[in-house]
Amino acid sequence: MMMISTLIKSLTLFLCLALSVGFYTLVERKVLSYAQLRKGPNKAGFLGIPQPLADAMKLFTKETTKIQKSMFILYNISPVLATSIMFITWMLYNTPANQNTIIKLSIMLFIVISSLNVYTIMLSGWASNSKYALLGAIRAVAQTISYEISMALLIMSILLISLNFNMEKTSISQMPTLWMMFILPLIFSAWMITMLAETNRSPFDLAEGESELVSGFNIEYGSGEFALLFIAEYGSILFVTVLTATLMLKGSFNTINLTQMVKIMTLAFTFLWVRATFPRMRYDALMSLTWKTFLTLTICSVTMLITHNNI
Amino acid sequence: MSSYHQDMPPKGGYAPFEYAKQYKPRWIKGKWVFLGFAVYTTIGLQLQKRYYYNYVTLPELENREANIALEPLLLAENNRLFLKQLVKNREDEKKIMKDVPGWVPGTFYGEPVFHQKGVYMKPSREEYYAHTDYDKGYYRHLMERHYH
Repeated sequence: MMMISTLIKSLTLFLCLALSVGFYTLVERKVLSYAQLRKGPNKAGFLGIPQPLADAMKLFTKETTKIQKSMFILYNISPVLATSIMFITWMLYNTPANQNTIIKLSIMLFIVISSLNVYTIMLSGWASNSKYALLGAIRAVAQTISYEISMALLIMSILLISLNFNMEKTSISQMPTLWMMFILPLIFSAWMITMLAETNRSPFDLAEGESELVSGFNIEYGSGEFALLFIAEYGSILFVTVLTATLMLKGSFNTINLTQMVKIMTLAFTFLWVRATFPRMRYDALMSLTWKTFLTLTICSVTMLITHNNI
Repeated sequence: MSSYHQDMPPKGGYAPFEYAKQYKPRWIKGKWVFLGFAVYTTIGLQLQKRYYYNYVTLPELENREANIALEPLLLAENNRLFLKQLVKNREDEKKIMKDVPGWVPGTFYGEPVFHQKGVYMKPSREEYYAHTDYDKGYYRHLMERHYH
């Protein structure tokens, strides 16, 4: 009985997550369209609101193409793996659906799980046996691995203030008005840039440089498999916004309230706004940004905070 | 005699022309920005440290003190629950084995199960929960927390 209720609860969570990802794509299309002085999707149903539902239905009922030269099993496994890793990261978030999972070292677990994302990209790029997919995968993997170092160090410098590996306690240990974002503004900006790069978002979406590589590591994917990769990408973006709201803006990781929603939505909108505003970065500039700027900055900040703790 | 004269460069020659990009003079110098940042961060970190001590460390210490103070009570409650369940088990055994001739609860045909050579052995977990209702999940959870 307990097991069935847990199953139903987690299925509800996953369903809501998939829906939110769908509507996030709709918001993205709308924001981008208004930034470019045009109207976005406004035909389907009432004001184009059911557009993502129609898209999902289309994608999942499309015929799946079997690519002759691809490594069939790995090619099919990688989207599933990507989506399941995304869902596992979301299990860290204490919604009413998973009240029973109390994870003490949740930030540690987040670092561990998020580093697994690289493998799905690598697998999907390599297993489709296409030059463009492979090149896109190599770019994405190099970028993600490089930015993971600065991400870990930035998380560490936040943990040096909160002195805890728990998300909830990290948000509790922040001041009610002076959030982590305000007392460490430099680290906050570095964190946002790192998160943009970590989720392969624009202006760091070198993985899908449109002129050189058609669509990056997921060229060969169509229909439901593409939809799964897409859901994984956007779900991880939404999780990153929640994480930022918790670590930097004193968001609550345990209960859902209005201020938390406002924080998450502002951050999610920032991701779209950045995409609408900035041009894509050059690849060497991207790499030197993390290895020459962020690495030094984060090491300095970690050293500074360690000394601050010991004074 | 002509009314015009030859155009000549101004006395002392032309001024050197600007070919490089002209930057606006910065309204604040870099070192002042850095100093301001340092002061800001120091004050922020000090405030954060004070807040952390008052609202995280002190409550934690208080909770720990309270837990230490409550420890004997909790232990006693724990023991009481355990003993209550043992009594319940004995009653259940009596009720179940009442048709077996010569059966004494707590023994196996005259051989004591829980007192072996003068040493008391706790019942195993399976034995302890043998007569409880499995479906009463909450109750079971509570008891499992208090076992041992």
